[in-house]
Amino acid sequence: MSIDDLGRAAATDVRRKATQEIDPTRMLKQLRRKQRNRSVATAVAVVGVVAAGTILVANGALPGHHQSGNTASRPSPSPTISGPCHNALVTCLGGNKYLVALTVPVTVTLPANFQGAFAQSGNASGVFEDYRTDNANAGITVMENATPVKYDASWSQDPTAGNTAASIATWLSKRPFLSHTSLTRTIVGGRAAWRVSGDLKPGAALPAEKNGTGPVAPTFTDTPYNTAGYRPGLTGQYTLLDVPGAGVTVIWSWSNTNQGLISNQAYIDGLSFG
Amino acid sequence: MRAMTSVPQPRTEAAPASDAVVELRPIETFEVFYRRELPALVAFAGALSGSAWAEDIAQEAMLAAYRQWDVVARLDIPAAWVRRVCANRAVSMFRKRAVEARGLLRLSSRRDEAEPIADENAAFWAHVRRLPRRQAQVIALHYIYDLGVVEIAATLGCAEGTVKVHLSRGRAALARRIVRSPEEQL
Repeated sequence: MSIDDLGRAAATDVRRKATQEIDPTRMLKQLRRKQRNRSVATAVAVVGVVAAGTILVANGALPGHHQSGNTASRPSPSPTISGPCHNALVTCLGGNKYLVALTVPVTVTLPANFQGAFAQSGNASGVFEDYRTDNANAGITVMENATPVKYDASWSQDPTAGNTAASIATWLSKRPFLSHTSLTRTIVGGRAAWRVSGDLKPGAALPAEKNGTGPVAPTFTDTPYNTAGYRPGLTGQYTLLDVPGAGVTVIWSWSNTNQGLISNQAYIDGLSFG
Repeated sequence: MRAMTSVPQPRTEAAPASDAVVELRPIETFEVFYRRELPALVAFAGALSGSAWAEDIAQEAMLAAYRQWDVVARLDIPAAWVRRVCANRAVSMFRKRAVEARGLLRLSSRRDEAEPIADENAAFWAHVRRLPRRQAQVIALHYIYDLGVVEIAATLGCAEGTVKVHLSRGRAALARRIVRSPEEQL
């Protein structure tokens, strides 16, 4: 029996079981109930945030006000029924704010053009990534304790890069496989950061093999599972900062177009660490 | 694409419908769409994630479509949109559960145990789930929906050449794994 025969038989079997076992009428009712609950939950969360804000103002805890001895209320985790709040990695803070449990927690203010996937892979606790809703080829990866790697197949640390965000940003801006690079200073979440942009040189060697995606010009890793790099058709911009407890943290903005990177920027602007 | 395990790959929802104002076809109601697409979507989710979460994953993908049905309904192929959402959620769920399971096994010092396999068909999907993310998605779309390269590329938002490569590699990997002796499998 060929793989095609096996695949077709397995597909027929799984479709038949699904048809027999599900009740679309029941599930449709459930779906509509979920949507109603979500709407109610959102309204409750908004009311909660407004109420918390009122308490903060009453206690003089907002900027410019005198801080009283009272403990101001924080918005409680959103009771949202589905979405990011069901992710064990994520605490919903209300509104579009989420706390992601990396080694050093990351607060994300989610722009409207991102999913809130907060996806993790491998067994590392120092990385997550998120994806655009309006561009299937763009997203953001946040990698704590990032290790700059050699330009070869090994994914091993490049000792020439140094161990600070500034030195590694400089190292990255001089990678031999990049052209049109720029290195600028910026601020992310109130911390000093360095931003590196560049294009993969046409014909640049892609010595590092990535499972399932083919060869790349490697840039960073944090474990054997989580890696970053350039390949044709994928441009990137890296923002690096020193985060106590999380070493050099890399925010990798990636897209198939430079315009896609521009539309990723709001996500980076909404990040803070610790 | 998961940047984490690799460089980023195309992922999730398609771009919103264009601003074109001419409607060339009637807009389907969500209920009609739901009833027609749900069974295969549950099958698809089950193939990629294991049956335990199939309904939940398919339902979440449908819920995402329901929330923006006025946009999704105007896409050329609304079903492709929901299949892509489902594909990404299914693989993410499977990988997340697998990582959690491995962690629990390490903590309890037990040997990693194979996923229980009910029959040959279930074994096929268990092998598919162990393929790299994109290969698994391409294989599942190909067999469950009987889609060709062009349709799969449109569904996943990637190039046809990429689909061909994943399909070829996925088939080859499955052939290698399935023809091994039963003791070695899984």
